[in-house]
Amino acid sequence: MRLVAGIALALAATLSVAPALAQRVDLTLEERTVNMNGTDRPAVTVNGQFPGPLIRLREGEEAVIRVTNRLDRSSSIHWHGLILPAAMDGAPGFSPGFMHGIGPGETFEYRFPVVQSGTYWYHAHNLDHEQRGLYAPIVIDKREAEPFRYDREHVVQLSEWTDERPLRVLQNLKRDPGYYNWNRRTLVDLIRDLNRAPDGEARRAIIRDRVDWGNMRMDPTDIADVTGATFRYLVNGFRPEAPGTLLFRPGERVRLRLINSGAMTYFDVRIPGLKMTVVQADGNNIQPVVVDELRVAVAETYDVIVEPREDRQYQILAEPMDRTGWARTRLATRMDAPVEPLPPHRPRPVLTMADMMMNPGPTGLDRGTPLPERDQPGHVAPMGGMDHGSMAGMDHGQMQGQAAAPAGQAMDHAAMGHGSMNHAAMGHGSMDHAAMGHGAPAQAGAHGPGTPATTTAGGMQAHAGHGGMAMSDPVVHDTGAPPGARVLSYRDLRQLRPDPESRPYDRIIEVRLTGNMERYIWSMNGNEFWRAQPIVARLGERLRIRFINETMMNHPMHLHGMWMVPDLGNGAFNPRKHVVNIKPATTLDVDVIVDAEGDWAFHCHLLYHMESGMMRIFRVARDGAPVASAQQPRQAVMPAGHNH
Amino acid sequence: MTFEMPKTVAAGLLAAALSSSAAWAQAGGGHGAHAAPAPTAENPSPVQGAGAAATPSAQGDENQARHPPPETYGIDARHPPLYFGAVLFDQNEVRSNGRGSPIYAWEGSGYYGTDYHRLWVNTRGETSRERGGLERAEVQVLYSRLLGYYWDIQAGVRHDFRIDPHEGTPARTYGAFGLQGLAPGYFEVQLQGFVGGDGVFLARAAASYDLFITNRLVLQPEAELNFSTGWDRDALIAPGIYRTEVGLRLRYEITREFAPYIGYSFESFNGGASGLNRRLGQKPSQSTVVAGIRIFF
Repeated sequence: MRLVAGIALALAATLSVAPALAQRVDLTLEERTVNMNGTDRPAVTVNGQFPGPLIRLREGEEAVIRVTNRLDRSSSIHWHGLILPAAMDGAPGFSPGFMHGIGPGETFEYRFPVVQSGTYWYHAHNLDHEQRGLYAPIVIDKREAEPFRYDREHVVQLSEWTDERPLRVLQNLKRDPGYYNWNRRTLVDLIRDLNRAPDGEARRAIIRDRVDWGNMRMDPTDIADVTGATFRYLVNGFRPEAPGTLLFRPGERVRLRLINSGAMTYFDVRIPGLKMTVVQADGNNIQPVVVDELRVAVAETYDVIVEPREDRQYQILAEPMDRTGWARTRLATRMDAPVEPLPPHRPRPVLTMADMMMNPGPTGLDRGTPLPERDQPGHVAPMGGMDHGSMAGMDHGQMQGQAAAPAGQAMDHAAMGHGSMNHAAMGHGSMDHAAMGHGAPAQAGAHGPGTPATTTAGGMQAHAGHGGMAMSDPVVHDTGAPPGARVLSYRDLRQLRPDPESRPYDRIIEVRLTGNMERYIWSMNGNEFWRAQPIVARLGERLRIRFINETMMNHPMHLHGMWMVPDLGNGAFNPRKHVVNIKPATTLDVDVIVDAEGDWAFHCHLLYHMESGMMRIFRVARDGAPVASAQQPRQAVMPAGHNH
Repeated sequence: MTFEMPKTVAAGLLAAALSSSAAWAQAGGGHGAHAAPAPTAENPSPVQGAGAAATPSAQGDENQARHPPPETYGIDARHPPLYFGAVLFDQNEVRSNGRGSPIYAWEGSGYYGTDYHRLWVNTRGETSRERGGLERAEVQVLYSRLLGYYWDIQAGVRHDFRIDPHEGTPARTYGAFGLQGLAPGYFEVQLQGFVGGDGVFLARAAASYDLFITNRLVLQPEAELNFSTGWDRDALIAPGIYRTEVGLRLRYEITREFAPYIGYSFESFNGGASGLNRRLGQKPSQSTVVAGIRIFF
């Protein structure tokens, strides 16, 4: 382990689950040297720690946090997932009175009531400082007792480190989006695959697949933009070669607070030998669900309870989705337990044509938004030339047959102007949209917004696991788990009690997740942040955001200041989240409980995507109040319930 | 596809990008002034924006001094998008035909700008087999704009230098325009047209493909055709396809930045141009073995 002495303080951070002070906290941002790979690199530390110190708050009290910036540039701290006044949110450029963040030498006092409990985290709201270490856990104790029992708790904060300057990494991606991908499909792979193929038909399919991807000008191995080629994956600041130790006594119930503070990395988490009982997601308690593995999207948090009974060491393995490294820590009964070897990597996932059976969602008139934005050049998904008809094994008829679509949906689709959209040009013509997770728009159109719609994701349930070329399920993750192992899906997340705010949505706003993989441009509705209109919501409404991911990357979408409720078919038990992952080429409806006035940041939490434009101002105005903007979006004056 | 920006604005942006690049570079991250308003859909005025960036207002300076922004800040609507650049010398090599001394040849390009608007420079040339000095050298300076998902449209000037006043091809300046991008199948394609002063129209089409044998060992076939509508005898140009070049290079990417390679290159003057070459006592075609280092940074 080659950490500089000062950085060994990370050890303290790991174990300091006991809080320093209750509600008054002083934080100092400073640049210090860290040595992860043999060279000294400048990290951004909080109170001299990398990652920063845990902040422990108590529900119902007021937090007073003074942040002093001793860096040479403006910085900021954003309280990720916390419900607080807009001015205290800590997003420069959004939060009133916080336009430039905290200047060098300045001190900013955050003061806000703590109205929630659970596991959260804080971080700088800019790529450069966050990637270089300005992130740390927040634990908020519940006023009453938790509805579950545990004897001990540990924070497991996942993150990554690069020796390169984050700006340099971004420029590398702009120059060559495959810069960090050293796992492309090669000629050697092709020859090996052909040799293994059982018959001529399989060989032809392999060749056809290669040709199809080539013609699409896309790379099926592009699972992560930034990989282990530059990242070292960390748990609580420790590299996997020299993991930290989380102590337990056999028989104890141990609560693990999993936080993904990575800038770009999805982690598949498992603890060989232990089942995990997920009791909390994004800070909100859920009905306990026992799983073997879970995928933690960037910026999500999950609390799990494990019961290690044996007097031995248990590895907590967090494997990046693209399998180019490891993050790990361990549960052990003593600090000096020998470090166990890492297991072999799971097979690296490769995008399939099924993943790419891109459902661009409703386009044309059925956008949800009254003022469809125009795509900037270069943002149009390159699907126009894709010939779905040539795809092997794709049985449209069968898909239609399996669709558990309520009768009449097909007609609704036509009535809603789908007929004129360019699905036909894409060879989607014969597909049943309901089977593709489109159920909701049709129902909303047919019955009006007052009727609770069947959910997109919920509707998919019937189709999960029909394998082959099935549409990708918007919330089920294939972590490469062995058969029989249970992997958490969003659908397993159910609130303990019905959500008191649960009601039908008032209107829909369509948010297409767009971009250009070749140029590393990322955007929402075809416009990067600096040329886009704010999304305007009215205080008190329940706004449905229809996410349509037109790209081949996952996007963890994060809204500041308000809860998002993904519609997963659990009705009033749908979970409240601050980050909702949108899988490649899928559609997911997410309701926002619009209860906080002001300008809020709304963005993809992959920091390099955010930095290249995948962000919006989410503006919440009182009904009738003028929208203070030079570019007044028209949805502000649309009557409630209008969903076209 | 529909990006209604007046041409003057586009040209102005190019000028502004040039004039303000120093200002961008100054602020560490490569982007400077707070004061520069970002072009918006409603108010597409990048000229004004970039101009303001070149000479930030007093207030902007003050803000800048008090709040130097972090190196990256996609979080702030007032900032312009990221400016960045790249340089690629795809051919940076020694060529030998087995007789006489080997020559050095290069072909490269570089750009600086945003995702959409870039100042683009292409250059190529080689040294003389006999004299050792430069045989020919060409530089193109282009404005490049993102046209669609995979394509840039480019326009500017091309200049062919006369190296030796008594020998070699004469200096020529052309207006240049072109299309560059990625064609289906992952072919890098460049199509260019050149309009000379004396009414001759030249065209050039080039394509290459990266065949990944392994993730670091890459075989790159490449072909280029040059076409002319008329004679330019001094410059060894004849009507029709007057020059072709094909090459095959095998590189090993030690890093993305440095990739040594070996390969084979075949150049040939065709049609009338082969006669022009013979008259000068040169062989109209030759095949060479090449070795070099591809540079990308």
